[in-house]
Amino acid sequence: MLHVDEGLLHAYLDGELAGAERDSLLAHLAECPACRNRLEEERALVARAGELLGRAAPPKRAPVPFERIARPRAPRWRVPAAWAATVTIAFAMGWYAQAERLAHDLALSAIPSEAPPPRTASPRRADGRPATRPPVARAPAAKSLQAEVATAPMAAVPAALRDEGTASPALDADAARAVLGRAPAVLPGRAVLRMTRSPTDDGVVVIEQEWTPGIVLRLYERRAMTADRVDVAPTRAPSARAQVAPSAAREPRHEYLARYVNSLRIEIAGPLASDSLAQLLELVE
Amino acid sequence: MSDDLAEVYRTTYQALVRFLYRKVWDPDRAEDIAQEAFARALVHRPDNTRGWLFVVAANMARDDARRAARERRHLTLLKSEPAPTATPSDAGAHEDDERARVQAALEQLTPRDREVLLLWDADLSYDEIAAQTGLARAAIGTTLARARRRLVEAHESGGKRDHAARG
Repeated sequence: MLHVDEGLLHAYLDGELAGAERDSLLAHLAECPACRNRLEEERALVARAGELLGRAAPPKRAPVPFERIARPRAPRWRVPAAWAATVTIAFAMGWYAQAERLAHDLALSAIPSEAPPPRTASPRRADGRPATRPPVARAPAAKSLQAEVATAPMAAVPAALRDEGTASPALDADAARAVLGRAPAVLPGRAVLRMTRSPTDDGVVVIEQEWTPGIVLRLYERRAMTADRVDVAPTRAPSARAQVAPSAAREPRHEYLARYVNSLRIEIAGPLASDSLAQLLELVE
Repeated sequence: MSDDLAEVYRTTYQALVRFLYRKVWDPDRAEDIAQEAFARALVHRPDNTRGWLFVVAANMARDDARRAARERRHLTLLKSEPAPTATPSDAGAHEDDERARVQAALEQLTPRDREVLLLWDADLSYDEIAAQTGLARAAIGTTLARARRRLVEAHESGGKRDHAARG
Protein backbone atom coordinates (compact mmCIF):
# COMPACT_ATOMS: atom_id res chain seq x y z
CA MET A 1 0.00 0.00 0.00
CA LEU A 2 1.12 3.55 -0.72
CA HIS A 3 1.85 5.84 2.18
CA VAL A 4 -1.18 7.69 3.40
CA ASP A 5 -1.53 11.35 2.55
CA GLU A 6 -1.58 13.97 5.25
CA GLY A 7 -5.22 14.79 4.62
CA LEU A 8 -6.16 11.29 5.68
CA LEU A 9 -3.99 11.58 8.77
CA HIS A 10 -5.62 14.87 9.76
CA ALA A 11 -9.07 13.47 9.15
CA TYR A 12 -8.16 10.52 11.38
CA LEU A 13 -6.76 12.80 14.09
CA ASP A 14 -9.86 14.96 13.86
CA GLY A 15 -12.03 11.91 14.44
CA GLU A 16 -13.56 12.34 11.02
CA LEU A 17 -12.49 9.07 9.50
CA ALA A 18 -14.85 6.14 9.72
CA GLY A 19 -15.60 2.76 8.26
CA ALA A 20 -13.42 1.26 5.57
CA GLU A 21 -11.22 4.33 5.27
CA ARG A 22 -10.37 4.22 8.92
CA ASP A 23 -9.82 0.47 8.89
CA SER A 24 -7.41 0.62 5.99
CA LEU A 25 -5.52 3.55 7.52
CA LEU A 26 -5.07 1.67 10.77
CA ALA A 27 -3.99 -1.45 8.91
CA HIS A 28 -1.37 0.56 7.06
CA LEU A 29 -0.12 2.30 10.18
CA ALA A 30 0.31 -1.07 11.87
CA GLU A 31 2.89 -2.12 9.33
CA CYS A 32 4.47 1.20 8.35
CA PRO A 33 6.78 2.90 10.90
CA ALA A 34 7.30 5.87 8.56
CA CYS A 35 3.61 6.65 8.53
CA ARG A 36 3.38 6.16 12.28
CA ASN A 37 6.10 8.77 12.64
CA ARG A 38 4.23 11.07 10.32
CA LEU A 39 1.07 10.52 12.30
CA GLU A 40 2.84 11.74 15.43
CA GLU A 41 4.21 14.75 13.56
CA GLU A 42 0.78 15.63 12.31
CA ARG A 43 -0.65 15.10 15.77
CA ALA A 44 1.82 17.67 17.10
CA LEU A 45 0.92 20.03 14.27
CA VAL A 46 -2.79 19.75 15.01
CA ALA A 47 -2.14 20.47 18.69
CA ARG A 48 0.14 23.39 17.90
CA ALA A 49 -2.32 24.99 15.47
CA GLY A 50 -5.10 24.57 18.01
CA GLU A 51 -2.97 26.19 20.66
CA LEU A 52 -2.20 29.16 18.43
CA LEU A 53 -5.85 29.62 17.62
CA GLY A 54 -6.58 29.51 21.33
CA ARG A 55 -4.41 32.58 21.76
CA ALA A 56 -6.58 34.40 19.27
CA ALA A 57 -9.82 33.64 21.06
CA PRO A 58 -12.24 36.24 22.36
CA PRO A 59 -12.44 36.79 26.12
CA LYS A 60 -14.64 34.24 27.85
CA ARG A 61 -17.97 35.78 28.69
CA ALA A 62 -21.25 34.37 29.76
CA PRO A 63 -23.56 34.35 26.75
CA VAL A 64 -26.56 36.62 26.75
CA PRO A 65 -29.55 34.52 27.79
CA PHE A 66 -31.35 33.15 24.81
CA GLU A 67 -34.61 34.55 26.17
CA ARG A 68 -33.29 38.02 25.58
CA ILE A 69 -32.86 37.24 21.91
CA ALA A 70 -36.01 35.15 21.65
CA ARG A 71 -38.60 37.37 23.24
CA PRO A 72 -41.94 35.72 23.86
CA ARG A 73 -43.61 38.68 22.19
CA ALA A 74 -41.84 37.96 18.93
CA PRO A 75 -44.77 36.43 16.99
CA ARG A 76 -46.93 39.49 17.60
CA TRP A 77 -44.37 42.08 16.68
CA ARG A 78 -45.44 43.12 13.25
CA VAL A 79 -48.13 45.70 13.69
CA PRO A 80 -47.36 47.09 17.13
CA ALA A 81 -43.62 47.23 16.58
CA ALA A 82 -43.99 48.88 13.22
CA TRP A 83 -46.35 51.38 14.69
CA ALA A 84 -44.07 52.03 17.62
CA ALA A 85 -41.12 52.45 15.33
CA THR A 86 -42.96 55.03 13.28
CA VAL A 87 -43.88 56.97 16.34
CA THR A 88 -40.40 56.74 17.71
CA ILE A 89 -38.89 57.87 14.47
CA ALA A 90 -41.26 60.76 14.03
CA PHE A 91 -40.75 61.66 17.61
CA ALA A 92 -37.00 61.39 17.41
CA MET A 93 -36.81 63.36 14.22
CA GLY A 94 -39.01 66.05 15.69
CA TRP A 95 -36.77 66.37 18.65
CA TYR A 96 -33.79 66.21 16.49
CA ALA A 97 -35.07 68.92 14.21
CA GLN A 98 -35.07 71.26 17.15
CA ALA A 99 -31.59 70.31 18.22
CA GLU A 100 -30.37 70.68 14.69
CA ARG A 101 -31.68 74.19 14.44
CA LEU A 102 -30.30 75.03 17.83
CA ALA A 103 -26.87 73.81 16.93
CA HIS A 104 -27.05 75.69 13.68
CA ASP A 105 -28.15 78.89 15.32
CA LEU A 106 -25.61 78.46 18.00
CA ALA A 107 -22.92 78.25 15.38
CA LEU A 108 -24.25 81.43 13.83
CA SER A 109 -24.45 83.20 17.14
CA ALA A 110 -20.87 82.26 17.85
CA ILE A 111 -19.75 84.48 14.97
CA PRO A 112 -18.89 87.89 16.41
CA SER A 113 -21.61 90.36 15.57
CA GLU A 114 -22.12 94.00 16.30
CA ALA A 115 -24.43 93.34 19.20
CA PRO A 116 -25.76 90.28 20.91
CA PRO A 117 -29.38 89.64 20.08
CA PRO A 118 -31.94 90.44 22.74
CA ARG A 119 -32.84 87.46 24.85
CA THR A 120 -36.28 87.07 23.37
CA ALA A 121 -35.51 88.20 19.86
CA SER A 122 -36.93 86.25 16.98
CA PRO A 123 -35.49 86.63 13.54
CA ARG A 124 -37.33 89.46 11.90
CA ARG A 125 -38.07 90.07 8.34
CA ALA A 126 -37.26 93.33 6.67
CA ASP A 127 -40.74 94.61 7.35
CA GLY A 128 -40.19 94.15 11.05
CA ARG A 129 -42.77 91.45 11.58
CA PRO A 130 -41.66 88.32 13.29
CA ALA A 131 -40.60 85.53 11.05
CA THR A 132 -42.52 82.32 11.26
CA ARG A 133 -39.61 80.63 12.89
CA PRO A 134 -40.29 79.52 16.43
CA PRO A 135 -38.52 81.53 19.08
CA VAL A 136 -36.93 78.42 20.48
CA ALA A 137 -34.74 78.27 17.43
CA ARG A 138 -32.73 81.20 18.65
CA ALA A 139 -30.03 80.20 21.07
CA PRO A 140 -28.30 83.33 22.26
CA ALA A 141 -25.45 81.65 24.05
CA ALA A 142 -24.01 78.27 24.68
CA LYS A 143 -25.06 78.44 28.29
CA SER A 144 -28.72 78.52 27.39
CA LEU A 145 -28.50 75.74 24.84
CA GLN A 146 -29.09 73.10 27.41
CA ALA A 147 -32.16 74.82 28.69
CA GLU A 148 -33.47 75.40 25.21
CA VAL A 149 -32.89 71.81 24.26
CA ALA A 150 -34.66 70.78 27.40
CA THR A 151 -37.77 72.64 26.36
CA ALA A 152 -37.57 71.65 22.73
CA PRO A 153 -38.94 68.12 22.82
CA MET A 154 -42.46 68.91 23.91
CA ALA A 155 -42.78 71.52 21.25
CA ALA A 156 -41.95 68.93 18.66
CA VAL A 157 -44.23 66.20 19.89
CA PRO A 158 -47.46 66.00 18.01
CA ALA A 159 -50.47 66.90 20.08
CA ALA A 160 -51.88 63.41 19.86
CA LEU A 161 -48.76 62.02 21.40
CA ARG A 162 -48.57 64.72 24.00
CA ASP A 163 -51.95 63.68 25.27
CA GLU A 164 -50.70 60.21 26.02
CA GLY A 165 -47.98 61.34 28.33
CA THR A 166 -47.66 64.21 30.69
CA ALA A 167 -44.10 65.34 30.10
CA SER A 168 -40.74 63.79 29.49
CA PRO A 169 -39.80 62.81 32.99
CA ALA A 170 -36.18 63.12 33.94
CA LEU A 171 -34.61 59.88 35.05
CA ASP A 172 -31.76 59.12 37.32
CA ALA A 173 -29.38 56.29 36.61
CA ASP A 174 -31.37 53.76 38.63
CA ALA A 175 -34.63 54.63 36.96
CA ALA A 176 -33.01 54.42 33.53
CA ARG A 177 -31.67 51.03 34.44
CA ALA A 178 -35.12 49.93 35.46
CA VAL A 179 -36.57 50.98 32.12
CA LEU A 180 -33.82 49.44 30.03
CA GLY A 181 -33.13 46.37 32.10
CA ARG A 182 -29.49 47.36 32.35
CA ALA A 183 -27.33 50.42 32.68
CA PRO A 184 -27.80 52.74 29.73
CA ALA A 185 -25.02 52.83 27.18
CA VAL A 186 -23.25 56.13 26.82
CA LEU A 187 -20.42 57.74 24.99
CA PRO A 188 -17.43 57.24 27.26
CA GLY A 189 -15.72 60.29 28.62
CA ARG A 190 -18.62 62.63 27.99
CA ALA A 191 -20.86 64.02 30.65
CA VAL A 192 -24.50 63.04 30.52
CA LEU A 193 -26.47 66.26 30.40
CA ARG A 194 -29.83 64.70 30.93
CA MET A 195 -31.71 61.45 30.87
CA THR A 196 -35.40 61.41 30.17
CA ARG A 197 -38.10 58.91 29.56
CA SER A 198 -40.03 59.43 26.37
CA PRO A 199 -43.45 60.98 27.08
CA THR A 200 -45.28 58.11 25.46
CA ASP A 201 -43.81 55.70 27.97
CA ASP A 202 -42.74 53.33 25.21
CA GLY A 203 -39.62 52.21 27.01
CA VAL A 204 -37.35 54.67 25.26
CA VAL A 205 -34.79 56.49 27.33
CA VAL A 206 -33.26 59.57 25.83
CA ILE A 207 -29.75 60.43 26.89
CA GLU A 208 -28.18 63.73 26.00
CA GLN A 209 -24.46 64.10 25.97
CA GLU A 210 -22.34 67.00 24.92
CA TRP A 211 -19.79 65.82 22.43
CA THR A 212 -18.01 69.10 22.02
CA PRO A 213 -19.20 72.46 23.25
CA GLY A 214 -22.43 73.21 21.46
CA ILE A 215 -22.76 69.76 19.89
CA VAL A 216 -25.35 67.81 21.81
CA LEU A 217 -25.85 64.22 20.82
CA ARG A 218 -28.90 62.23 21.70
CA LEU A 219 -28.99 58.52 22.28
CA TYR A 220 -32.40 56.90 22.07
CA GLU A 221 -32.23 53.61 23.86
CA ARG A 222 -34.65 50.86 24.49
CA ARG A 223 -34.55 47.17 25.06
CA ALA A 224 -33.88 45.38 21.84
CA MET A 225 -36.72 43.27 20.57
CA THR A 226 -35.95 40.29 18.44
CA ALA A 227 -38.29 41.36 15.73
CA ASP A 228 -36.65 44.67 15.00
CA ARG A 229 -33.21 43.15 14.77
CA VAL A 230 -33.82 41.76 11.32
CA ASP A 231 -31.89 44.59 9.75
CA VAL A 232 -28.30 44.55 10.76
CA ALA A 233 -27.16 47.67 12.50
CA PRO A 234 -26.34 50.34 11.83
CA THR A 235 -29.15 51.08 9.53
CA ARG A 236 -30.19 54.34 8.12
CA ALA A 237 -33.87 54.84 8.05
CA PRO A 238 -34.53 56.75 4.88
CA SER A 239 -38.25 56.14 5.22
CA ALA A 240 -38.09 58.13 8.40
CA ARG A 241 -37.91 61.31 6.41
CA ALA A 242 -41.40 60.81 5.19
CA GLN A 243 -42.60 60.96 8.76
CA VAL A 244 -40.81 64.15 9.57
CA ALA A 245 -42.19 67.62 9.66
CA PRO A 246 -41.22 69.69 6.64
CA SER A 247 -38.90 71.83 8.68
CA ALA A 248 -36.87 68.79 9.54
CA ALA A 249 -36.97 67.31 6.08
CA ARG A 250 -35.21 70.23 4.56
CA GLU A 251 -32.24 69.81 6.85
CA PRO A 252 -29.80 67.98 4.62
CA ARG A 253 -27.57 66.88 7.45
CA HIS A 254 -30.19 64.77 9.12
CA GLU A 255 -28.88 61.36 9.76
CA TYR A 256 -30.28 58.62 11.79
CA LEU A 257 -28.37 55.55 12.81
CA ALA A 258 -29.07 52.60 15.02
CA ARG A 259 -27.03 49.88 16.62
CA TYR A 260 -27.48 47.08 19.07
CA VAL A 261 -25.28 46.99 22.11
CA ASN A 262 -25.92 43.85 24.08
CA SER A 263 -29.60 43.99 24.93
CA LEU A 264 -30.16 47.60 23.94
CA ARG A 265 -31.20 49.18 20.72
CA ILE A 266 -29.54 52.55 20.41
CA GLU A 267 -30.14 55.31 17.98
CA ILE A 268 -27.94 58.31 17.71
CA ALA A 269 -28.81 61.75 16.45
CA GLY A 270 -26.86 64.93 16.34
CA PRO A 271 -25.71 67.76 14.12
CA LEU A 272 -22.83 65.85 12.57
CA ALA A 273 -22.23 64.05 9.30
CA SER A 274 -23.51 60.50 9.21
CA ASP A 275 -20.04 59.05 9.03
CA SER A 276 -19.14 60.86 12.20
CA LEU A 277 -22.35 59.80 13.87
CA ALA A 278 -21.75 56.22 12.82
CA GLN A 279 -18.29 56.40 14.30
CA LEU A 280 -19.64 57.88 17.50
CA LEU A 281 -22.26 55.20 17.64
CA GLU A 282 -19.51 52.63 17.62
CA LEU A 283 -18.02 54.27 20.69
CA VAL A 284 -21.19 53.93 22.70
CA GLU A 285 -20.81 51.32 25.38
CA MET B 1 -38.72 25.22 16.76
CA SER B 2 -37.89 27.86 19.27
CA ASP B 3 -36.75 25.13 21.62
CA ASP B 4 -34.51 23.72 18.91
CA LEU B 5 -33.00 27.11 18.35
CA ALA B 6 -32.48 27.54 22.06
CA GLU B 7 -30.53 24.31 22.03
CA VAL B 8 -28.48 25.43 19.05
CA TYR B 9 -27.87 28.68 20.85
CA ARG B 10 -26.63 26.84 23.90
CA THR B 11 -24.27 24.63 21.93
CA THR B 12 -23.17 26.99 19.18
CA TYR B 13 -23.25 30.58 20.39
CA GLN B 14 -19.76 30.71 21.83
CA ALA B 15 -18.27 28.86 18.90
CA LEU B 16 -19.94 31.34 16.58
CA VAL B 17 -18.54 34.24 18.59
CA ARG B 18 -15.10 32.66 18.39
CA PHE B 19 -15.46 32.24 14.64
CA LEU B 20 -16.57 35.84 14.23
CA TYR B 21 -13.94 37.23 16.53
CA ARG B 22 -11.25 35.97 14.17
CA LYS B 23 -12.91 37.93 11.42
CA VAL B 24 -13.69 41.24 13.07
CA TRP B 25 -11.11 41.09 15.92
CA ASP B 26 -13.42 42.88 18.28
CA PRO B 27 -15.20 40.84 20.97
CA ASP B 28 -18.16 43.20 21.20
CA ARG B 29 -18.75 43.22 17.48
CA ALA B 30 -18.37 39.46 17.36
CA GLU B 31 -21.07 39.09 20.00
CA ASP B 32 -23.29 41.64 18.34
CA ILE B 33 -23.12 39.81 15.06
CA ALA B 34 -23.64 36.41 16.65
CA GLN B 35 -26.75 37.63 18.44
CA GLU B 36 -27.97 39.27 15.30
CA ALA B 37 -27.53 36.01 13.42
CA PHE B 38 -29.59 34.15 16.01
CA ALA B 39 -32.24 36.84 15.96
CA ARG B 40 -32.48 36.43 12.21
CA ALA B 41 -32.65 32.67 12.56
CA LEU B 42 -35.68 33.16 14.79
CA VAL B 43 -37.40 34.97 11.98
CA HIS B 44 -36.22 32.84 9.08
CA ARG B 45 -36.38 29.42 10.72
CA PRO B 46 -33.79 27.83 8.44
CA ASP B 47 -33.72 24.05 8.06
CA ASN B 48 -30.03 23.67 8.77
CA THR B 49 -29.73 26.16 11.58
CA ARG B 50 -26.07 25.77 12.39
CA GLY B 51 -24.91 26.00 8.81
CA TRP B 52 -27.25 28.88 8.14
CA LEU B 53 -25.97 30.76 11.17
CA PHE B 54 -22.37 30.50 10.07
CA VAL B 55 -23.17 31.61 6.53
CA VAL B 56 -25.22 34.59 7.66
CA ALA B 57 -22.76 35.54 10.37
CA ALA B 58 -19.82 35.32 7.99
CA ASN B 59 -21.63 37.60 5.57
CA MET B 60 -22.39 40.08 8.30
CA ALA B 61 -18.79 39.99 9.48
CA ARG B 62 -17.63 40.73 5.96
CA ASP B 63 -20.02 43.65 5.66
CA ASP B 64 -18.97 44.83 9.07
CA ALA B 65 -15.31 44.74 8.11
CA ARG B 66 -16.04 46.75 4.98
CA ARG B 67 -18.02 49.28 6.93
CA ALA B 68 -15.30 49.54 9.55
CA ALA B 69 -12.72 50.16 6.86
CA ARG B 70 -14.92 52.83 5.34
CA GLU B 71 -15.43 54.48 8.69
CA ARG B 72 -11.75 54.44 9.48
CA ARG B 73 -11.24 56.59 6.41
CA HIS B 74 -13.68 59.10 7.84
CA LEU B 75 -12.22 59.01 11.30
CA THR B 76 -10.35 62.21 10.61
CA LEU B 77 -13.69 63.96 10.58
CA LEU B 78 -13.82 63.53 14.30
CA LYS B 79 -11.86 65.24 16.95
CA SER B 80 -8.81 63.40 18.17
CA GLU B 81 -10.34 60.53 20.04
CA PRO B 82 -8.91 57.17 20.91
CA ALA B 83 -9.46 54.55 18.27
CA PRO B 84 -12.58 52.59 19.11
CA THR B 85 -10.91 49.21 19.56
CA ALA B 86 -7.66 50.33 21.13
CA THR B 87 -8.06 49.79 24.84
CA PRO B 88 -5.17 47.53 25.78
CA SER B 89 -4.11 47.65 29.38
CA ASP B 90 -0.56 47.01 30.42
CA ALA B 91 -1.55 43.72 31.93
CA GLY B 92 -3.12 42.60 28.70
CA ALA B 93 -0.31 43.83 26.49
CA HIS B 94 1.33 40.46 26.26
CA GLU B 95 -1.88 38.69 25.33
CA ASP B 96 -2.61 41.40 22.79
CA ASP B 97 0.80 40.88 21.30
CA GLU B 98 0.27 37.14 21.11
CA ARG B 99 -3.13 37.63 19.57
CA ALA B 100 -1.73 40.04 17.01
CA ARG B 101 0.91 37.52 16.00
CA VAL B 102 -1.67 34.81 15.47
CA GLN B 103 -3.86 37.27 13.61
CA ALA B 104 -0.98 38.17 11.33
CA ALA B 105 -0.25 34.48 10.76
CA LEU B 106 -3.90 33.74 9.98
CA GLU B 107 -3.95 36.52 7.46
CA GLN B 108 -1.22 34.78 5.49
CA LEU B 109 -3.46 31.82 4.82
CA THR B 110 -5.48 31.75 1.64
CA PRO B 111 -9.08 32.79 2.32
CA ARG B 112 -10.30 29.25 1.71
CA ASP B 113 -7.74 27.61 3.98
CA ARG B 114 -8.44 30.17 6.68
CA GLU B 115 -12.17 29.70 6.41
CA VAL B 116 -11.92 25.92 6.72
CA LEU B 117 -9.59 26.23 9.70
CA LEU B 118 -11.85 28.72 11.47
CA LEU B 119 -14.92 26.63 10.82
CA TRP B 120 -13.20 23.55 12.20
CA ASP B 121 -12.11 25.49 15.26
CA ALA B 122 -15.73 26.58 15.67
CA ASP B 123 -16.63 22.92 16.11
CA LEU B 124 -18.10 22.29 12.68
CA SER B 125 -17.74 18.76 11.37
CA TYR B 126 -16.09 17.89 8.07
CA ASP B 127 -19.55 17.38 6.60
CA GLU B 128 -20.66 20.79 7.77
CA ILE B 129 -17.50 22.46 6.53
CA ALA B 130 -17.90 20.76 3.16
CA ALA B 131 -21.47 21.98 2.89
CA GLN B 132 -20.39 25.45 3.97
CA THR B 133 -17.48 25.88 1.63
CA GLY B 134 -18.50 23.77 -1.35
CA LEU B 135 -15.39 21.67 -0.97
CA ALA B 136 -15.56 17.90 -1.28
CA ARG B 137 -15.59 16.21 2.09
CA ALA B 138 -12.49 14.28 1.11
CA ALA B 139 -10.65 17.56 0.57
CA ILE B 140 -11.28 18.91 4.05
CA GLY B 141 -8.52 16.92 5.74
CA THR B 142 -6.00 18.00 3.14
CA THR B 143 -7.11 21.61 3.41
CA LEU B 144 -6.89 21.54 7.18
CA ALA B 145 -3.45 19.94 7.07
CA ARG B 146 -2.24 22.71 4.78
CA ALA B 147 -3.91 25.46 6.80
CA ARG B 148 -2.47 24.21 10.09
CA ARG B 149 1.00 23.86 8.67
CA ARG B 150 0.83 27.30 7.14
CA LEU B 151 -0.45 28.86 10.34
CA VAL B 152 2.33 27.39 12.44
CA GLU B 153 4.98 28.32 9.90
CA ALA B 154 3.73 31.83 9.49
CA HIS B 155 3.59 32.26 13.23
CA GLU B 156 7.14 30.99 13.65
CA SER B 157 8.44 33.33 10.99
CA GLY B 158 7.13 36.14 13.16
CA GLY B 159 4.27 37.07 10.93
CA LYS B 160 6.60 38.18 8.19
CA ARG B 161 5.57 37.66 4.64
CA ASP B 162 6.75 34.26 3.47
CA HIS B 163 5.31 32.74 0.38
CA ALA B 164 7.82 29.92 0.16
CA ALA B 165 5.47 27.28 1.51
CA ARG B 166 2.63 28.23 -0.77
CA GLY B 167 2.45 26.07 -3.86
